[in-house]
Amino acid sequence: MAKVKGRPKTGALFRIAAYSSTILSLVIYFFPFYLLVVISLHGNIFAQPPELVPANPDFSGYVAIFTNPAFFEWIMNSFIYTIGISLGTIIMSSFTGYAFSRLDFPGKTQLFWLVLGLMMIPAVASYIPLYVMLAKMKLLNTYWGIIIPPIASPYSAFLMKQSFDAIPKDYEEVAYIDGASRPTILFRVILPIAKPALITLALFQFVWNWNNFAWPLFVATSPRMWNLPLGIWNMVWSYTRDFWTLAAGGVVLMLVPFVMYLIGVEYFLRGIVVTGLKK
Amino acid sequence: MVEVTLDHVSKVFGEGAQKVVAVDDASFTVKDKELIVLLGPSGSGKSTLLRLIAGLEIPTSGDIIIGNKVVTELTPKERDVAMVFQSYALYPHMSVFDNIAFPLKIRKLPREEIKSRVEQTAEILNIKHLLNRMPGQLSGGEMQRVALARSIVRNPQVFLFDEPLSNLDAKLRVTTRGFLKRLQKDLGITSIYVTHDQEEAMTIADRIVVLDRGKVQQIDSPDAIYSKPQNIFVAGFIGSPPMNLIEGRVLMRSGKIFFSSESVNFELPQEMMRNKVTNEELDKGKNVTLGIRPEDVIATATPGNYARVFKGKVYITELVGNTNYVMVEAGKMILRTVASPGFRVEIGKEVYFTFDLQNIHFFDSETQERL
Repeated sequence: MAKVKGRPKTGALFRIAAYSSTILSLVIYFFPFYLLVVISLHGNIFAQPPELVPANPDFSGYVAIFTNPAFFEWIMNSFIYTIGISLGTIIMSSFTGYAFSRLDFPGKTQLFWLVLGLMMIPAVASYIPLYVMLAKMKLLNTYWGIIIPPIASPYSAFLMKQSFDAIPKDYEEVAYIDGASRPTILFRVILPIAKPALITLALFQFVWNWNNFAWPLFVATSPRMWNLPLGIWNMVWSYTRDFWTLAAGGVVLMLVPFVMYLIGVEYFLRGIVVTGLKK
Repeated sequence: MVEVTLDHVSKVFGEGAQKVVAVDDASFTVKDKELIVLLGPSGSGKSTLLRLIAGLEIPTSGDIIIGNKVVTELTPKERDVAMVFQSYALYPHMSVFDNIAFPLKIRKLPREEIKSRVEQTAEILNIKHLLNRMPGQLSGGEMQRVALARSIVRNPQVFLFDEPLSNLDAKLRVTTRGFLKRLQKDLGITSIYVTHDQEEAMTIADRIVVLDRGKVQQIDSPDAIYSKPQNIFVAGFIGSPPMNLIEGRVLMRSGKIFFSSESVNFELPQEMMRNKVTNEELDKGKNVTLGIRPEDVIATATPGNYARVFKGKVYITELVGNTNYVMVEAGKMILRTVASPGFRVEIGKEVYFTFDLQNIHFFDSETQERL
């Protein structure tokens, strides 16, 4: 880059500031996770100086979790809820998003604004009425009762609608002229093109639902329906000073979403570039 | 035999204050095996007309007939038309083979037949070597051929083209339009082609439908459109550089007919106005617009022996290939003229120009129609 006479260091200063703030942000964000791992290995971060690298790593917290008789049940429930809700959300929001993006029907605009409005309301606000509904339908403490209500996700519908909006209508029109029906267009043309958005949605849904604590707490009235967050919370609650087991629980909870994130990021970055259009 | 007929077709978008008449009472017939071009500026309704024929839009009124079938309310599949889009719209997640095969797969044809037809079509368009590639790996010209192949493979009744050459560079556009014209003739499929490029239209069309603001202005062969424009819009739109349009009056004085304007005044042969303007109108003076193409206005350095010669000043000169265009300031008008390639004169210098009366056109200034 050519130097501007009289101001030779502007570019370098800007770069230093940018890099410094990025590194600082990363440290601030990742340091608590590092501390979590340290605590889970019995590192004493309250000592003077703090023990940032455990001198004698102790895995007893992990052993307590993995050897708990209910651990397998918690893991299974976590996978059932996560995969069930995520899959259901992806299917429901794909259809909803497509309808809002591509179809014309009476009240479409007003309905869309309603969906947007629902995004502003915290999900917790709907827990009590949902609890009452599920109780009346005798679905409390059942897999259906835990999986079905979260499938209706305004955020996911909005995300898919925006993704479909970004796909030029030319693809559908040429498929329509070639004789494709609307379901064929959706499943063989639009959804494959929207794969990066679907992967992103799946990733977000997986992480949200894997870590979901409040909703199963409300609906799962017996311990056999608990998922991993609930199970670990209950375990640690019995040991009031056992911070390392709680920390180990946090690390275990974070492992699966972390792996999913690594896989999903690689796919999303690779993606399928929309290169079938000449604009 | 496949003809396409539009019978008083109109298309209106919106209502009330936001109402837009995109197509206004269009009626014409595309003959069997003909390549007709819908030509007009942006917003003239040509793409809307094409979409109405394709079935992507439903007319507000009127009927569309393909072959002997009224298809106005039918879906595109039921009309058996194929369309090439300006953007080509190749499915990015499918290979070239799968893109071309897609219309056949939807119809659940046997795999062997699909393979055979795709390869045959690819052979015709010289893209057999591209069948395993993805659209992202193709050049603009290759994408265009794949889009063509996808349309051809179905053997449709009618081809529709929506500005398929717009995204190609100038050189490729010239070679490809010749290829398209030849392909259409070889296949013998009735075709409707949309473009805003008049050179493209004049080159490939059997007939041209000129559109402006949703209305059909003229339907004729390229030659007739160029030599006998029916109104001022067509006269000004067709031709590059565009026709000179001079506002003036025709009037009778002392038994002679004159054309009078701020830039040129000259006597007209009596027979030129016969059957075009009444004697009463000539006595009062009729407002007309005189049209003459640049190639029919010759610029020279000296008056010479021309019967009708006018004086002006050079505004600018443009040498395009071996054609020397000289813009001449005459009165308050600037006229486009042609001079010999070696003609050199400075801006602001005096120059003479003459008309070829055989090639002037007169339009009624009020109705805008050809006299």
